[in-house]
Amino acid sequence: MYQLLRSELLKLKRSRYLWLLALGPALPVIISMTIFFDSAELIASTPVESLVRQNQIVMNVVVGQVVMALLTGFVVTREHRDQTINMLYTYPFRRSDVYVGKLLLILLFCISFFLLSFLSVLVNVLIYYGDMVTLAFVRKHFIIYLLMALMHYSLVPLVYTICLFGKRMGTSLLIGGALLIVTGLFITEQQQAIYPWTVPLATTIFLVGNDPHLPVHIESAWPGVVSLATVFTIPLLFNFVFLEKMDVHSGS
Amino acid sequence: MTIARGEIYGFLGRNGAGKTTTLRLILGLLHPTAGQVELFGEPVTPAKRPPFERIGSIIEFPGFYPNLTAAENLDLHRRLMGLSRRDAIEETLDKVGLLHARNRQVKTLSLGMKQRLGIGRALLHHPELLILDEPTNGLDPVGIKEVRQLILDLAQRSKITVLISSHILTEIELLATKVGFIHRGRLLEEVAYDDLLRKNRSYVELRVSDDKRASLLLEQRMDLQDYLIPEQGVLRLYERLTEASAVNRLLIEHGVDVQELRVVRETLEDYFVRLTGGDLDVPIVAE
Repeated sequence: MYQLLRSELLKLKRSRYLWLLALGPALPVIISMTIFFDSAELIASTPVESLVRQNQIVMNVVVGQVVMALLTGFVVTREHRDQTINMLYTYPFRRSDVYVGKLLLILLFCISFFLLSFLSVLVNVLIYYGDMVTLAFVRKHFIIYLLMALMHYSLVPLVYTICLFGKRMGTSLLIGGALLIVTGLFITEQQQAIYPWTVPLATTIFLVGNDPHLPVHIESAWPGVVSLATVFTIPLLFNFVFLEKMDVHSGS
Repeated sequence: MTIARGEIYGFLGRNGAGKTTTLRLILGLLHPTAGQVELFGEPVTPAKRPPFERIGSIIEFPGFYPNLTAAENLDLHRRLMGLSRRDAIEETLDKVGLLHARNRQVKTLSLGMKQRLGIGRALLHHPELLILDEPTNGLDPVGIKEVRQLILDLAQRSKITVLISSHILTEIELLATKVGFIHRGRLLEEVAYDDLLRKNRSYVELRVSDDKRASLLLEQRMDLQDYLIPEQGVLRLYERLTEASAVNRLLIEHGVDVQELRVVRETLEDYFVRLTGGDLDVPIVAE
């Protein structure tokens, strides 16, 4: 398994997707810093929690979903695009081992991505609110960002399944776009607690503390946890079975 | 399909005949709906996968990670095959004549270089069986010659078993020690290349009044050894084809009537067409 994970990491060498890892977390913070730059009034009127919450909303609603869908799509579909799938399944590993290797890579990427986001926002907060940042604050948000990573990761097996059938990068782009539209336009307040793509946002806000000014608030995190666990487990198991039985045809 | 150790098995068939599908079945990329694949004397089942450490393969096109260099792609293969020796990469690149391109990203390599790198990768872990699916596809004549020579050198030096599929007759003619003909998903015939050559050789065919006397005369007076009597009254001479008139004179002078004499040149293409019942809806390529 170690060799599989190492090989998956090596495959990303010189890949433009590594820029996502750097730019994804940094961009919201850079925008936020630009707005705050030289505006003492704005800094004074914006509570530190609010600044962090803004970043969490952006990461949950836009950046996290899109980047994870893109990365998952890339990891799955590139093997078909570059026709390396024929070689990949003729190594002395089970196909499910290869699958686990890819899932571990995405997990590693996902955690790094959200922790980098946390570090970026921490730097931002330290610049503008240095004296207000306590160890408890850092610990609390560190855990929240880690949970955000895990919540977004729980959606990966489903995207993986779709990409296994789609076999094209366009599929994952389509998924990312569709999720954004559905999340933004069609999800009602009642559905936020269980719709898998709003659960990370709703749960994050719930964990930080519900804000009456925000249209997202849930009373309990449990329905979301059950929803994400379901959406994680079923495709995960399906993929294990499907990959072992899948025929690799010409041009696939 | 039966392939003995050390053979270069040419798997010949038209486009769409089922060559790649067969190779995919052997490699476990496809699951058979009926029948069984046996490799190294062991059956391959969904529970018991092929011994991939003992096989090197290129199916259709050697796929690489374009953002990695030639050496990095081989290193990836080395790790996944569980080889500890790092110097195997340099050795392999040298073997396929790509040492100078070791640090070039694969996306910058030519098609011929990629094919050679693919063969190198298939050989990196010293397999006992090398499966090459149309390894000269898309190559220019020089590239085809290079790859062919490479396969021959490797087969002779490393004594590995090679299964090579192609729809190009000359490619098989120049490489194979045994040929399997596939047509519309069915393996029609397997034949040792020497036997095939015998079947396909040019010959002088004589229809004579007395084949026994004729053969005796040819043996004694012209020292002819390589001939065949396929049917009564018919002689096929496989040597000294340019001396057909001398043969004719000799037989007539000794009272053997020659009713017909002709030079017949059967090609592998003729043989293949004859084998497939003259079905030429999709032409096979004789280059």
